Amino acid sequence: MITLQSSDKDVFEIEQSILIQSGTIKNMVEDDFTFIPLPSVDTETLIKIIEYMKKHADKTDSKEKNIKEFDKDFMKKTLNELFALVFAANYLHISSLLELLYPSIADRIKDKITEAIRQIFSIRCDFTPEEERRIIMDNKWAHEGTEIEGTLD
Amino acid sequence: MARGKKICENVGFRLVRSTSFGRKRVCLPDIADLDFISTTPTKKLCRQNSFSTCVKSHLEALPQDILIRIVCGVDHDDLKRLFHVSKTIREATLVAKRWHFEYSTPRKTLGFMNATFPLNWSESNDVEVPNAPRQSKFPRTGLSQKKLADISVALFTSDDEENWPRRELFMQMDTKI
Repeated sequence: MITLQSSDKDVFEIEQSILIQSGTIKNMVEDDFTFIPLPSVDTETLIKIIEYMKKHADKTDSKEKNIKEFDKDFMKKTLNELFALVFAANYLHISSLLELLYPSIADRIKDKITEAIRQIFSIRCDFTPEEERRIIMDNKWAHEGTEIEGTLD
Repeated sequence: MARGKKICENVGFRLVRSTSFGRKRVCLPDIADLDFISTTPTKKLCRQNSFSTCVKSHLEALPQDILIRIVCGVDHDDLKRLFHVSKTIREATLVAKRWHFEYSTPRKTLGFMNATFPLNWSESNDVEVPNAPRQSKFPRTGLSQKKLADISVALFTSDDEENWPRRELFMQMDTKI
């Protein structure tokens, strides 16, 4: 059993076989650590990470459909929760979770106008009006959309 | 062993070797680094402007490689909008365009989509795809269907061999080619 401690000082005892899905934890376990503090991961996010790893620990064929359904529901979270998961999964090196998170966040960006993206993600525009004009000039491909570089003739 | 020590040092912890744990090692926090450890990595204070609580958004606070991977998941049409969001997003979009979008087929989308309007998929071929190589709709060969039928030869013999004019066929080929 391995003990994980969140940034909120809550401790969780989990089986090693489940936790080695995290590259970071696997390395520390190989170096004989049994108590692993995770100062970058808060309790709420750590609970979700552990839930994910428990579900994915047993990847037999019969449970594959079950796992896919779980993953689909697992991604139904707020943006803040998804970002917290991305940071945690990146720190813990859980590549399968990251591969799930990338398209989930990308879906929140798709088909939105620039201003909507700024509002949803709380981004401040740091372009000056001259810079905006230059961007449009330098990247006509993004705005005209009809340029064709070559033909098959 | 050195690797584990490095991980511990990176997060501001020091190793304690204790004989009572045998080979097992435990990390203890360095008191001086405690404030640094408790800071979450999601918020970065804007140092340039000390008068406003300028906090970078979660998206911009992501490591660039993760941001690029996320941008790779959007559609081609979204790239031009992402270009104008901010400098950080623009940099990631440029890299994603170079690595991913120049080697992937854009999804064809119509300019307007009306649920009550019947979709005419034959018109979707008229939608211009940016930077796509132009393809001819008709085969550019000098052979017509009739000529192809004349020079086509059965590869396998069948019971109706007398129906295939073999000798005359070769004579025809000599004159036409």
